[in-house]
Amino acid sequence: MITDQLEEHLRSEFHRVDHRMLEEGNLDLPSYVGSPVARPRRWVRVAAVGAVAAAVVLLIPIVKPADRPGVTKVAEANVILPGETPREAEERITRACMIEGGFTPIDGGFASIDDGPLYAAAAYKESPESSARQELCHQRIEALGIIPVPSPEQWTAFYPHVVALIDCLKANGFDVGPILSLDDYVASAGKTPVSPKLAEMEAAGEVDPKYWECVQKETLPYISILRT
Amino acid sequence: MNVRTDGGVAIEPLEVDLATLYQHELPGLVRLAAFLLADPRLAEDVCQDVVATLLQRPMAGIDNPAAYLRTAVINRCRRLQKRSTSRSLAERRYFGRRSESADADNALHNDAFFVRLRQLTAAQRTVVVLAYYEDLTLAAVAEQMDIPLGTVKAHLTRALDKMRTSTP
Repeated sequence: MITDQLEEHLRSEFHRVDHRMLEEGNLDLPSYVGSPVARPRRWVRVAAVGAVAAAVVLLIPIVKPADRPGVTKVAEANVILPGETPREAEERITRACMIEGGFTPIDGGFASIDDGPLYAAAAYKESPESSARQELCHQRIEALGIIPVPSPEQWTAFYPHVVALIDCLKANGFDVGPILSLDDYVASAGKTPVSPKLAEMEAAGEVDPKYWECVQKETLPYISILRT
Repeated sequence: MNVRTDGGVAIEPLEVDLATLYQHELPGLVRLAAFLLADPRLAEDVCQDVVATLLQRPMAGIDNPAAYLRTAVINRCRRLQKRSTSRSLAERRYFGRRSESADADNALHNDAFFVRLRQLTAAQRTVVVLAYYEDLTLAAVAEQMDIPLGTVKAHLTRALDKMRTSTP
């Protein structure tokens, strides 16, 4: 069949089938043709509900900052200074932990191995019966062997928490030593209170100079803790 | 509202009567989609899908809603056929688990011409339908499909070769 004939044949076939579709009338339109609203497909509805639920979950910490775990814990730990908001207290303590403690608190975390001593003490105060929290504190204490105190002026503020912590440690089989100055601690323990993480940061030149300033010049008090 | 010679309806740009537009245009679009997909059953639902999508979009500002709708149907049919998985997903969505026996019962689906159209690739079939059913020039087909004119000619040549060998 030459091309012209084939083209003519195709046109006639299209014409024939087109008429057949019209005559058989089996291409009726569904009833919702012309309706201004078409019901979304099931997956669209499911996706919409899921998106709304996810948005609500994600927005809760934003619209209710006071309910964020870290802020709540700080408030419960009773370490907020007069005129200070929970968020400011958290930031102050975080700074203290990073500078004096040499730790990097995880945002929103609490009493983890990277948290500062105040968090650890507050965690004990809040839930001394919590084995998970205690285990975290034990890990931290074993990593350092000491509890560094953030600063002399804050010592008074959270001393009760440290006392509570010491009591808990004693109850859990720790032998808590006396409060030592850094020099005394180094002399008695034969090592400097440097965590592996801090040593790593120091090697990378990431340690805030204020840390060494505090440690070396102010000789912050330390509580040495030895596990029996 | 003016009735075109081809039976379609020319709608004033700012006075789009959607219901009227669909009532006049959709039967023709369903037949066009049937040829493009070589599947009359799937065509109905694909067209409805396009209509449902367009219902949620503002049509104001579109110079020729009928042509817009036609282009949307052609594009949807082409997109459906780009991958066999897309097509099978669409069939499952529209028909559920369509059985082979259901197809066998559909006399129109088994029309010899549809069977021959199904032997072409999607691009070849689109070129053939636009050229011989829609009576578009090859340049217009190239513009509609957004591919070079040479590619359209190549698709058409191969399609005609296939159709020639399968013509009884």
